[in-house]
Amino acid sequence: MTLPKSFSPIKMSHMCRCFVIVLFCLDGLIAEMGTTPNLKHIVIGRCYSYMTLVSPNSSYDCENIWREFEQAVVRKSPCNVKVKDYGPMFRAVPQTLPCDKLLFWSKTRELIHNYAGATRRFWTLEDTLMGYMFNDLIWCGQKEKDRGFDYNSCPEWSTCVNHPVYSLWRQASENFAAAACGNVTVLLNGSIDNAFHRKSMFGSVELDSLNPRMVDHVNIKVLANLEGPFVESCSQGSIADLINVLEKRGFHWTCTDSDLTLMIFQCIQNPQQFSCLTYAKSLQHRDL
Amino acid sequence: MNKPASRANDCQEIWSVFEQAFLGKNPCNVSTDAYVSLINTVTQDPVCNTMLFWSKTWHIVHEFTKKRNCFQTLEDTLLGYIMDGLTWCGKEGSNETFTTGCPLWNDCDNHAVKSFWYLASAAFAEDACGDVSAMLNGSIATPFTPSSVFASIEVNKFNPNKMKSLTVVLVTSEDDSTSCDDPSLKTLQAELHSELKYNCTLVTMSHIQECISDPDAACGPCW
Repeated sequence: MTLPKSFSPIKMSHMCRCFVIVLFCLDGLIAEMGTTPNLKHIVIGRCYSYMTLVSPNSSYDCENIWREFEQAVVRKSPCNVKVKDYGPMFRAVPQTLPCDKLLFWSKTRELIHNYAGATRRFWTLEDTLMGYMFNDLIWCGQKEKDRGFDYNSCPEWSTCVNHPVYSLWRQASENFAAAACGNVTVLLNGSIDNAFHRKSMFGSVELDSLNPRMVDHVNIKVLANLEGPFVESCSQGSIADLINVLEKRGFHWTCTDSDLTLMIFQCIQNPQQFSCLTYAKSLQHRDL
Repeated sequence: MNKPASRANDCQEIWSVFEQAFLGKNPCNVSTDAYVSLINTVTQDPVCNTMLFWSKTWHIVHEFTKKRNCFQTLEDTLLGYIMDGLTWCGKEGSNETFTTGCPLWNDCDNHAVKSFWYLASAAFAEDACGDVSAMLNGSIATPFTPSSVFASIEVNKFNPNKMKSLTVVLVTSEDDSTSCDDPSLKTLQAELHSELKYNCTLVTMSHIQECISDPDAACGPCW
């Protein structure tokens, strides 16, 4: 999930995954953003949408999920919503995932959702009911408890011990990773420093929740922007730290730079880019 | 309850013995010993010649045992079935059982949930009798991985007084070149008790999938 489009001049990704970057770039900005307008309609609507259109064999009590969510948030002060406060809500949203199709990502937001959406071979957290309902949204309670959501402003990350948005994503990420089995794929951004960061949601919660009994193999894919910069790769930079952790825990792993399928996806978004012209040429020649 | 042998068990009793293992304790300070009473409380006779161990094949092995009745993994026994997929922990100074806010799997060694599985695996291996099978992953570099539960806990609990043989079922996909000659399997053979007979058979993933999708076929030809 990310902040709404008004923040995108700063090229960043998942709000919760990028604690460190958020602190640097958004200091002061989040305080001006409050709870997303029409939050209730959006969350409940997405729940029905998921149940009816995305995953038609499922059945959830959307009103109940909303109630449990609201209770968790408004009954506490805005900086004091802990992971366990969301317990009843999570219990209302049990979901069995295709555990061998899970895709993790860190700082590669746009690409990942185009890729997962188009291939339908993978599931990201945002493809689960929980992720689908709350993606891109912001919420917090008012300073006086039990007064509902605060639509004027929500606390900054840096001042918040138990930020209501972070706590939800933390538990959702933990559940998601703990359910993973078989082959797991992780997509990291080769155009930045610290593509793998122990402080990101992937580097802390998700990595530590992967169960070596259930997961056999971790496929790391490092992808840089087509035009660069080319900062990190499988053999250069923070990825080595990730590989270290995986090895210590007994996971088998592979690491690929420049996965062809992913590069083609990048070209779809930017077909005029120099490296994409070769693909364009070969496609044109097919008519002959 | 779907397995007749388990009817002698009292679910309420199992729950209270289970809770005793971790209630009021630091969830990173729960050793395997804490679950000994639980293992002793659940009564279920092992069905010889049907026990199936696994390593790095979680998904396929459980698809198989869920759809076909010929083999049983730990997770198909009463105790394994109850705990499969669950997270739990206690907290010092509290007599509540928590299912959120627990340490993550990799956070600590004497982890409340990990310790349960380590002890249950050891017990399952100790009870292994007759002809035993183990489904290993032929698509990874070392199908017999030293750090796995199978290698580090289960194999050395096999009892030649109860168990006759171990058949490794090595599951591969079409482009794998692994075979029963894999060096890690030689290590397994060396670690296995000398009185136990060792076999190995290579099976493709698609063959297992066929066996899974045909409930009426006999299990024998699956491997």
